[in-house]
Amino acid sequence: MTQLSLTLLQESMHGFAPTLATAGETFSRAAVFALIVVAVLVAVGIGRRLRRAAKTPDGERQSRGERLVEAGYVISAAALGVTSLTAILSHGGMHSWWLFAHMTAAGAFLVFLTAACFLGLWRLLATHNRFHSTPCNPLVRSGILLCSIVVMATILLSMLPWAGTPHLELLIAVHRYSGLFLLLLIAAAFSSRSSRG
Amino acid sequence: MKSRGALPLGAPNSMTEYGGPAGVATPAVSLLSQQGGPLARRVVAAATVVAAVFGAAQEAAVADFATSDSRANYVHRIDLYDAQNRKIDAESDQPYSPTKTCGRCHDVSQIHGGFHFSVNNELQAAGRPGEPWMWMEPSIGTQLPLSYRRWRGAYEPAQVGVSDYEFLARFGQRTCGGYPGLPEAKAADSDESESAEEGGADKDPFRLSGRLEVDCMICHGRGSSFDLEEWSNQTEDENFAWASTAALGLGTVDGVVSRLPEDFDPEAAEAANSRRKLPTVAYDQRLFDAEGQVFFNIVRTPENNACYRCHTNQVVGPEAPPRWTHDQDVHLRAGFQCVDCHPNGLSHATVRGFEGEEHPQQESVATLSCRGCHIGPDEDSDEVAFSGGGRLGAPFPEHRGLPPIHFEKMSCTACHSGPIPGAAGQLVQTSRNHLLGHKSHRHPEDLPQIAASVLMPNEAGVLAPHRVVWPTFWAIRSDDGLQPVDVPVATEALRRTLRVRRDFLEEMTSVRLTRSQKAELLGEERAKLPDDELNDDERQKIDKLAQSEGVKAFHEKIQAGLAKLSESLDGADVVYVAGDNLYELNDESQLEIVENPGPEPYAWPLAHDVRPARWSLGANGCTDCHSTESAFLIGNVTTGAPVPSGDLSPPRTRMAMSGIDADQWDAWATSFRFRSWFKAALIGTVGIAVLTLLVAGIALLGRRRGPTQHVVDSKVTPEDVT
Repeated sequence: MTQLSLTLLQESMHGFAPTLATAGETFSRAAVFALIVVAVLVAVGIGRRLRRAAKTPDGERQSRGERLVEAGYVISAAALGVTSLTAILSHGGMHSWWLFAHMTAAGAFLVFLTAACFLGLWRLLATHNRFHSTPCNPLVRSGILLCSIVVMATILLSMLPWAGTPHLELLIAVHRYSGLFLLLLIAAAFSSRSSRG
Repeated sequence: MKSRGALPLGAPNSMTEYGGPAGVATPAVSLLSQQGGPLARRVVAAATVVAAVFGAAQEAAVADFATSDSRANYVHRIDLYDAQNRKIDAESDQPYSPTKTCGRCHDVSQIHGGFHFSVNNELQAAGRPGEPWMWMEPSIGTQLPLSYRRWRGAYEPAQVGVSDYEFLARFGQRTCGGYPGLPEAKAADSDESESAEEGGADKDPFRLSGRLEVDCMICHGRGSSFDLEEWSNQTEDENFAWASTAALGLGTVDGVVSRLPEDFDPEAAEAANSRRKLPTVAYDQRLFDAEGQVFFNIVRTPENNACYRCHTNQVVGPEAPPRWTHDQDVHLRAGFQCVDCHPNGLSHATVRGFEGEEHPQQESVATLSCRGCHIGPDEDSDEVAFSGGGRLGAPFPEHRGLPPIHFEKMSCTACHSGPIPGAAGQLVQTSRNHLLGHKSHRHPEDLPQIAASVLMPNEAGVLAPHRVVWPTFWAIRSDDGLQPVDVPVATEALRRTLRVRRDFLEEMTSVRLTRSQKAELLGEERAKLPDDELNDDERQKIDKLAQSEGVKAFHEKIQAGLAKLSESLDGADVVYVAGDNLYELNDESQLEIVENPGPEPYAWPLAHDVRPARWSLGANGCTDCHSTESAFLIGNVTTGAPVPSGDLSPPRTRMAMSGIDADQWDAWATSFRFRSWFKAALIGTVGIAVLTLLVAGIALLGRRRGPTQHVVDSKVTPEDVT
């Protein structure tokens, strides 16, 4: 049944696959643009911290463990971005040691994302479904989680013997663009949050 | 088919192939006619007349060559003609000429430009490297890859002192005739007169042998109507002009050109009634019908058998699977013919089928490569005829789960073609270089040793399986590198120094131990005994000594050979190149073996036999290749140089040949041990992340329906939990 569904899905996607795969060729240009935006957002965030423009928000402060997990998550995501974008922009694709480094960073990313999810769920359950507020834009944070899921799911699917070449190219294209979007969202979160959050 | 009298050979119907319809003014002429003045109109009128005349000539040319225009084979009952265009009857003693006979109805001038016959034709691009002709000279330990196609790493025969005639006498048996059998074709191709090269018409080396004409029946003869062994025998005897007649079984040939003296004068010999004479033919009279015609059993598209005559490869060696277990090429087993993927038109510009191939007539051939046929040409290509691929029902390969990066790094053949890589080096013997097809006693070690399925980057930098052979030769070293000494020069100079007849290594290392040497090893009494009375231990000692003395003798002879050849070449810096090593004389004239900085082994990509998908590399999972024990990268590649094994550098590993970074490969291979863990972690993380999102969503939904007793903070968002 699963196989049948996948086949149907592939058949329905077949017409789109080449178009989207071709879109991967413009990825380099999109990546350059995204990097500029990320740089601007990070600069804004740093500027805000330097000027201490942001006020301490209401609500609870994060524990040390939460901050550690969050920092790990951001660093591993940044490593993924650096390894992939450097390889793509300078070597035209993910090859050799760059791909190896990317895969290694991916392991760390999984660990920190899992930890972040557990911490979030734990907080939710421990407080009886009582949310606490955080300093950054809630839409950005939900986008980060969603993008993380898409990034992981696309690469997971591509590692399973289900999708053929056109669909693998589609999955990789989606993986790349969602990864790029994830970087943008993380940078946006950084720029919008307070220095103490 | 009735003969229609003598027709001009090579009447150009190629004009119709490239030009427009006869007698039709071109658009430019029409425009000039409409817009030009009186002078222009006169020019146009003249041009129109010329065009009309030319068109008529063109039509006449077209009419010269017959076509059946049916898919059915045409039954050929034809008259035979000799090289002087005289009709042959059953009593004739002259060989038939395929060019004159077939050329009465077929445009042989076009055909002679085909890939198999005109290797120097600029129109027929050399393309990617192919199998060379290995010039083996056992008496001087030379094996050189030759080719007229200017493939990188192969030498043109003239570069190493091999004349066209010698080339044909050696390799003609595995050619279809033609160039260099047709010196006039070479002159047309390269603007070099054969007579100029050979020193005038009087010294035409083909004067006695005649021409080895393009023989249509090698490929177009049905079944076993053409006897390749007879063709080989005749070409070896240098009976070039007689080879076609004998091979087709039209008659028996009496006489051997190679036994005639160089200054042999056929007319003088006939006048003197000499026993020496040019070969003659005794035709089989039963083959001629009442009208003096002969039935030629012809097929339009050559059968696989015809291709196999020159294109058979066989894996040999201890790891070679028994022949009966081999499935051969999956396409052929599915009912394909070689010509389905390697077709040609009248021009005989056979499609080779590699990616990026350019057809000399600019025909569209992109769908005849693996990728083009199974997937379709690149979107950028100009293909319009079969834009989607899938010719002849070629299935679209899903390659499920195979990361597309593999298609950037590797050719289709890397996983699908050639023998399945084994741990030990595999050797291949071929029709052209080991005369497969002839009855013989072959051994896997026979030279030249061709290593198979060596993964190497091709000209596009993509990894593809190659066959590899190491040249071995005497060379002059200069600032320009290593240039092989002309083979005849080296042979003449070294003949008496090396004294080798058949087996270079065996004869060069063969020594007879003296009584005193044996006595030193075994003692006086035991040394007197014949070998068969010695015990195993003693025999081993003797063998070991003989081996070391043999190597010493080999070195001494090479040293003497270097000195002798240098002397013959006016003190040139001469070296002997063998595999990755180079034998040279140092300043004190002592022999030294150093690393060969010169030519790399000659390698050419292989494409056959294609294995079925489930026999391809990777069919059993990633670790077919991504493993530290993967067969296709571990193991050594046999050098096959005729020198003592102790002299050779450690053999190159397949990994080294592939150019892959070994450390990187090991790191990747190791990481694949954890791949299943990584997948499990991914699944888990995705699950947890989705759950988190769901829980947060549910909480948000609950909050929107109204504050619950648990929700106290009005500013909550589902994202906060992340």
